[in-house]
Amino acid sequence: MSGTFLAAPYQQRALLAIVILGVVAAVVGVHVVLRRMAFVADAMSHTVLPGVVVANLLGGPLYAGALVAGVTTAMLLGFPARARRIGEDAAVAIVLASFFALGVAIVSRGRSFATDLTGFLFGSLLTVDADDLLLMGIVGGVAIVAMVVFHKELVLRAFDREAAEAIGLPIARLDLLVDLAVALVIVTALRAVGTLLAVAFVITPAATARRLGLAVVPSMLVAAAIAALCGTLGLAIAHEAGMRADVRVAPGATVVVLLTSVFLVVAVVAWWRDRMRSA
Amino acid sequence: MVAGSDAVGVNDLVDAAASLVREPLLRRALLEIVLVGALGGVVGVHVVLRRLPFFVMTLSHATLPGLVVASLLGVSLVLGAAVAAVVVVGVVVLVGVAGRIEDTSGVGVVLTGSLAVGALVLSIGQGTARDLSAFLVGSVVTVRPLDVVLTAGLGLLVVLVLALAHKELVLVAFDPAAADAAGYQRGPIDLLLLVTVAVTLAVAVPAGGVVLSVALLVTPASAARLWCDRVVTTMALAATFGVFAGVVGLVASAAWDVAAGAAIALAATAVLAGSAAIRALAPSRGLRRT
Repeated sequence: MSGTFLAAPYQQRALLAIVILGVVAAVVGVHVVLRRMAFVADAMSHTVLPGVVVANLLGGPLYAGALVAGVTTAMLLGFPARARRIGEDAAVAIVLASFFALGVAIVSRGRSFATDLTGFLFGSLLTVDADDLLLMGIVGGVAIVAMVVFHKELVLRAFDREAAEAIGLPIARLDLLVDLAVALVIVTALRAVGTLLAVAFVITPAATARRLGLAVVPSMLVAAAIAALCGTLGLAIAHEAGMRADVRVAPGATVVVLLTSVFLVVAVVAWWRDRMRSA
Repeated sequence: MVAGSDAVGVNDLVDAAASLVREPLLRRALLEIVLVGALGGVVGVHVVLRRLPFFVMTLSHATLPGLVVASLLGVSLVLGAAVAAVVVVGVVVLVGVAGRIEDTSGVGVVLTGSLAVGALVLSIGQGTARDLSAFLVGSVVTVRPLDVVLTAGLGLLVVLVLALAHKELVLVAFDPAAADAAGYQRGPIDLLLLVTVAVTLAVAVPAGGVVLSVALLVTPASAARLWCDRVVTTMALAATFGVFAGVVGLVASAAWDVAAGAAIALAATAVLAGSAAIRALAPSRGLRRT
């Protein structure tokens, strides 16, 4: 089955894109899940939209727009809500909705509103080209290097904030580093699966690996393996559905549905195992 | 679309406002957004008080599969969204009973997973990019008469429930320990609130969209909190802000040809930003009884 679907070069590029994204997102994602920042990552996948839209309007590279918007919102979301009467969670939700609305407002003035918007949000896995792959490798590589260089500090901060503070680690800057890395992952994912589904690659495989009770580095390896496996399977399913049953199936969404299914199975098994143990 | 000789586009705004009253389709949209804006404001106060914005965000994204299936089956979008939202509330309650929701990553998985399921089902059902973007950013101009009736009916029900359980809800929000001591069962009260929020989202998403409905539930309430302390007053002001943002957004959308959901969300943000600016510049202590 997989022999036939990987014969086409565009399928090979799609798979390579998923693997690159899976590896980068796994390394960053474990840090996101460890420090319970899933919602900030979710928010960022929405707030990069205006950057992408403006870049598209100006005819510049979408990556650059996403990067600028991602870094801007990473800085914004990194600050706890200034106004005490607006909770931090409300502030994140408001920033998310406002930025997203701004992007939608701009793109909705264009003639191909719906196609453009869904393209930005859900990507186009089968049209990824060699230049895209190169850029994904470079941007993703930067994120991985940052995570590797500060690995010890990031892990200490995630597991023992007090200890990290006691030895003088800059907590806020370490958190910002992870936020920025999330922005880089979203930039990496932009062409392949879009900004909205990007965050599934960050959170879902990492959360799955963590529920297996693995340590940090093994979690990253397992998360990357899960993404690669679901990527291969998802592409194969989408291809076969189109070829044999003539059913049009969105490949990016298929991969994410598989990732989510794996998480649900592992989460249920982990929960059941814990219950058996405590009983 | 182009402002013509009038650079600021004020004439467009006046024309658009007039057409909202004149044309039946737009009049229906106006009615819908007034209802949803008011309801979102009222329920939003509880959402903000109980720190539920993340929950609202997840729940609203999770309605996408419901919207997609409803549109493929040709039934009311409100119904599809309601079923999806209630299912998610059920899962949250089950997991809550099992006692392990300290891990927020599960919520993030549900949020993106729902989007993927929705996009996947839509692609199988031969849905278009147009359908998908309408679900994501809302489409108040295309709401059906049945949806408006459902919004009014369910909205009334929600307000009634909130009024009847007001004392209990406020007590649990401000002083859970006192609620326990007074012998209240927090579980059922929390469940009641979650279901209320789910129903509110179900009527809001066809108009406000899966992503942008959060602006209707969180932003006006947050803005109102800057002005008031008493819960009922905050609700009244939040409802007013919600209606104002809805109407202004709808007019701006018609005048300048931008997506209605986006214009409404941005109008709500403007209300919040304006409130925050005024409160910061003129901190009159008299209004705050803290």
